[in-house]
Amino acid sequence: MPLKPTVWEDEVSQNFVNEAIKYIEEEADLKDIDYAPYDYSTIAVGKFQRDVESGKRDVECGMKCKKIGWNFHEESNDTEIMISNTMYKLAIKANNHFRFILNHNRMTMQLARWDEGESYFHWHADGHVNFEGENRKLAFSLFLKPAEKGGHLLINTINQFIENTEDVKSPSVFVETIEEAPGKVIAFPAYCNHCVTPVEKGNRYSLVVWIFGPEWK
Amino acid sequence: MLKPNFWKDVVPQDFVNDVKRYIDSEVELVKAHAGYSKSGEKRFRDCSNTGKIKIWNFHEESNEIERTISNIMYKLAVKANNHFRFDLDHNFMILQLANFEEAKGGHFGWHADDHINFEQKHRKLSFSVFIQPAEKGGELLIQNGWEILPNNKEIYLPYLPSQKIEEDVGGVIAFPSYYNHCITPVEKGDRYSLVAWIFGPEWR
Repeated sequence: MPLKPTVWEDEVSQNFVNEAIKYIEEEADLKDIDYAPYDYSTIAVGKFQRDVESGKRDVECGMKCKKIGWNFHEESNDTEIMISNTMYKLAIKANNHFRFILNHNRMTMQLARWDEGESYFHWHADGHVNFEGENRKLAFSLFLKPAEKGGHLLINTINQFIENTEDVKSPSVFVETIEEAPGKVIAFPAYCNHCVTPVEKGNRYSLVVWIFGPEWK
Repeated sequence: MLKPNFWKDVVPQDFVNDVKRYIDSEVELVKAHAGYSKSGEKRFRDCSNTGKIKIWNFHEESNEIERTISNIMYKLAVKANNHFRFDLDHNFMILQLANFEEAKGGHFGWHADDHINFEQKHRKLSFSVFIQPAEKGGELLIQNGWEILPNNKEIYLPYLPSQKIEEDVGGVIAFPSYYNHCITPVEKGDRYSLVAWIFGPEWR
């Protein structure tokens, strides 16, 4: 039996991408999020990159971006409703792959702008927090507009095939760089560690979504 | 309240002594090769295991001491799972004795036990029993989650600290197998440990 891929992929229409970008640029009231333990001027070429490259993980998790978030069924306008409805359908589709026990009505959306020269998100796992007994179990990233340089999503994936060898008994942590294209959507288990490398050139626009559910079984 | 992601217990000193004697005198440990290809080439940047190990499956023990170890771990797994409540197949358990030697700077790079599967069964619950901690180095670090930033009501920032697990002789720790963890290089004194993995159907 083949192993199940850790990352599931799909795409949304160009219209969806355009609307979401327009909303971010013209309408949405983005809030500054800054939990930076680092000085950005040093991390883009310094600590963060070294941590990523060396696989170092005993680090504080800093992040900086501008974002707006909302819960499913609590949207403030038509664009948010359109986004929620699209993501609801994608979550059901993705879960044909994952088969997790999810509460599809308990979903949180976040639109974010990752500005060049300041934004990043260090290694973390979305499942590391929970909310009143409910857990983030399925994580989505939807790429609206990739950065021109930097701003890469890296994920510790699991269940990798090891080709041409019987040596499958090698647990490891694979760092996979996700190729970003406008409209591309990926989903992965919320316990997988991931990060966004510092954005060096061109703002990066993204939508992330979490589907909640009861504790892992 | 968040559920702690570690579960802890202890085993009797007699058991620790038996296991230690078995590692020292009787069992033949082989070189672990996680992170390496068959030809010995290092395959992954941050995961290599330089420990020496002996592995067996539950119900396939080769002697009395292995049966004792399996039976103790079986009971501990049932007990631990009163906390975790995972879907587990308690009869599908793998046991491993390991010696991370001072002479070899024994270590195990960052990895997660769940990163492999066996015929669609997944490692889901991981155990470490500390038989003999190293005198220096050889620390078990685990990236646990659910840390919440104080004084922030807007968002719960997921943090990714790696927690150093205190190794007391006979101490037992269980954690979900999807957590990344590592053993730092042993600097002084060999480090003896017993690990066990309980398998089960895919995470749901």
